[in-house]
Amino acid sequence: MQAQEFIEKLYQASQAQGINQFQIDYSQSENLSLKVMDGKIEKRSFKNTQHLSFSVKEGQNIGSFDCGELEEKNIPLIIKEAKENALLMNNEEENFFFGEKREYPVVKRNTPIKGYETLDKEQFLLNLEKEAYAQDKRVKKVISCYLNEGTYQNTIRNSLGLNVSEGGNWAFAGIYLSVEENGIIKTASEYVKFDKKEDFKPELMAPKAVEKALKKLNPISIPSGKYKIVFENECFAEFLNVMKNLFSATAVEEKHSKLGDKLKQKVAADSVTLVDNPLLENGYDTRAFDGEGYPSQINVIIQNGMLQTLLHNLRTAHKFGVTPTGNGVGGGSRGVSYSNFYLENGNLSKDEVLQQTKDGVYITDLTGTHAGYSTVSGDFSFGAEGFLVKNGKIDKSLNQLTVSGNVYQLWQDIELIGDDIKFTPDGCGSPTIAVKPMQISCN
Amino acid sequence: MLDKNLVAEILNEALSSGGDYAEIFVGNTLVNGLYTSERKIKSSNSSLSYGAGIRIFDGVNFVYAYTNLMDRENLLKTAQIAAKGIKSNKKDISFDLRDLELERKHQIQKPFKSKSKKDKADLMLKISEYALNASPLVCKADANYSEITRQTLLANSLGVWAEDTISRSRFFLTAIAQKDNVIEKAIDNFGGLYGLELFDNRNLQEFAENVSADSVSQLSAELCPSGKMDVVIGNGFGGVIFHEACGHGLEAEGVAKDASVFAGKLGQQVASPLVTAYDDATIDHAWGSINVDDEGIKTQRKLLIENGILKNYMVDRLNGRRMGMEPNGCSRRQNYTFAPTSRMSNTFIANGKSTPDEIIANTENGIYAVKMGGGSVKMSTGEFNFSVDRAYLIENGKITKQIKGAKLIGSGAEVLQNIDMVGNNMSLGCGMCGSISGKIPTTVGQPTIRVKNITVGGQK
Repeated sequence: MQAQEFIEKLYQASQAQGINQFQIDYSQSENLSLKVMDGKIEKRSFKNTQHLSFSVKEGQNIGSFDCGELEEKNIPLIIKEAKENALLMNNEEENFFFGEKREYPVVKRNTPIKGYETLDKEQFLLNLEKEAYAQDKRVKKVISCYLNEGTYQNTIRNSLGLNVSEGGNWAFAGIYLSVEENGIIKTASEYVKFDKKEDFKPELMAPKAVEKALKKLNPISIPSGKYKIVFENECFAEFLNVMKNLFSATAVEEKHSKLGDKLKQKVAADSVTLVDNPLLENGYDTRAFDGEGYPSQINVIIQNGMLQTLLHNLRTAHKFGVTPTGNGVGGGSRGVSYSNFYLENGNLSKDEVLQQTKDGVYITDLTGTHAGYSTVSGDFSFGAEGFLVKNGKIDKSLNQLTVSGNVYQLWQDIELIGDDIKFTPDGCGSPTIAVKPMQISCN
Repeated sequence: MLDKNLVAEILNEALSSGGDYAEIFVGNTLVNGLYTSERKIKSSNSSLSYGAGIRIFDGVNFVYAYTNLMDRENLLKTAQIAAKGIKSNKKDISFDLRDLELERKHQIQKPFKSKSKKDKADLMLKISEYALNASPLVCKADANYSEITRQTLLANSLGVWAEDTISRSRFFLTAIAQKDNVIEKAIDNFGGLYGLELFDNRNLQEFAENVSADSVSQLSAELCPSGKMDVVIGNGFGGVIFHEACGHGLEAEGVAKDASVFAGKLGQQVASPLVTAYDDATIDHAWGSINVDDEGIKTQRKLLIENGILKNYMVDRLNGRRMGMEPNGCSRRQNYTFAPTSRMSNTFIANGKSTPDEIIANTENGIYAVKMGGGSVKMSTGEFNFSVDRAYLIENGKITKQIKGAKLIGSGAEVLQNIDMVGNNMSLGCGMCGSISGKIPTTVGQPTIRVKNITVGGQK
């Protein structure tokens, strides 16, 4: 059955059953993914799927049922399950669907530039792998050389009159490789998203990845102790992705953030401005509305070190007595989501950040971040890769590291902020930053 | 789930462009989840996922196409799209789809539907209450329960028709303790291929009180020191060290591509002679067990390492071709949206001879990592990291202070060689393992072991 026909039937069946408030979230996506190995296209993968989430409000609560198979026979099950889920919950705070008539912002999402449609994608990958091996004898293995592209369309329709849609397309390619010397193996990766001309040239991407990996060879060990830390821009962006939940109202409710009573107080160094910006031009997570259909807006979370707002969905905004921030999640989750979430640029170049730090450790990669962070205490201990910083310059590569601290302290300890913001595909962005000494352990 | 004639038609369509093997995987998964917190039923979710993935081999290269538009027309179209990715001479392949006979172990006793969601939620609230009542410092107890019924069909051009249904359930309890501005949490869980009997024959009160006590004791834990030290790792979920440091490196996905440090080492001494390890997908009702893998091969108990010597890898069909080895029933995927590959099931280090007390008493100074958190490994270098959820200092052969925030790092190959004591108290723990074919349930396990000289990272 066609999706629109199914949605219409589900809509009518819900009304016929006398369900007062309900919502349908529908998404459809198609993807292509290619992978090269040893001069051949090793993998071609094609996807064409749809997903529907049906939600019902009963009393204060919203219950949902998620389903991919849009067949008429499933309609009674979908309605029954969603209703049963709603009736079961006994939350004290009210949940909401959004139904106000509002203007939606016009946004420009990251999308491949003109010329991508005619790119020979398989040849691009074959060349990329070949270029990587040609760079240096020490390249051991191109572990992964891939291209992914897709289109998607999301629609939210509810009984309060909301009916909004948004879609887009995206593409990115990447390489992950290892190099070896004297029995030491090191890895590095690089990716492009085809939003600038240079991205179409494998001969530019391959050397970057190889150079990154070669720099890591011949690592030395340093004694465990406290070192000033410089986080590479992309690396701190990944760290932001790990800890961004600190700023959500749901995390405060759940005691997974201690920032609930810190509004208008100083939670970070004076130079820190932290933003969630769904309107960012060409952003990975740029959107006109959130998962609940609420119009997107720019939220400055920390300004000059002061906490300005938490991020809210419709329910938490009502509970906390504030206006929603456009960070809702639809479907069964009803949590808080983020868009383009970033630390704003400072005014130092990366070199100046290193020079002013003088001696310390430059961290380029964090590992095990899913397990080494306690959301209730803020304590973290991660695996890491990095370099020694000596006399203001990046020096020798270091053996495997751990870096430990506490995120609340870390925000206060940011000393220097670069002007080289970079975003990761998770939608988080950061410039290079330097922080006060943290505990390092080196293998 | 699908008609045999239609499946045969799809497979023939898939082979039309010269592929030498084609398969279709159909998955139908029903999930129910409940979450209680602050004495309320906070959420109740359910979902049904139904879709199909078609894979075609051309030597060691492959195409994968998947969809959840399950009508005949679209399934055949998906097979055509996949076939377009193969450009070879058409092979003469004929097959007759025959049911694969399976010993259907792990049958559940109490179907999920035998109790209402409300009854289940009430039980969760009761268990949470035990945790809250155990200490005035415990300010929050959250319970999560999920039940999953996964129905699968795998049919391929070798004539395999394998259908199976597996039900699994898991329960988590989190306790959060607070004293002044210090907040800490503890979490524990149990799960397996069970229906509602998951909760039977367990002392649920004791379980909850232990979680509660763990969160409280964490409040007064000191910061973990940094540096190299001997580490005693507790049994059960402690086996995550073997899972990360070695298990992933024995998956054919990495070995075939020479991306694993264990590639080319069959028959060689890769671990201390005290180490014997298995991957066994056939353990009754274990969380990581399955009857048949996602390539239609019956699962097995595989000896991976015997007295330190590498004996076997986990091999799937495609990487088996690359390595010239037979697949051994370990190919898995989260659902139809992933092509399958070699993965672990229930992976553990077998019992040794020491008692846990002897291991502690023989450790002059070090740390005792009673409960491990999660971790990860970089397969190409063997470098791993993992977190410790509960740990103590060992001083002069005795457990002294509780410490927090410990991270262990090192290389898998090195750690395996440095295991110098193995206990006699093997047990298993549940986990979810993420890799290129998605997130799948796996069990880790080991007796208490001691590893010499691991780099420990802490805040002190």
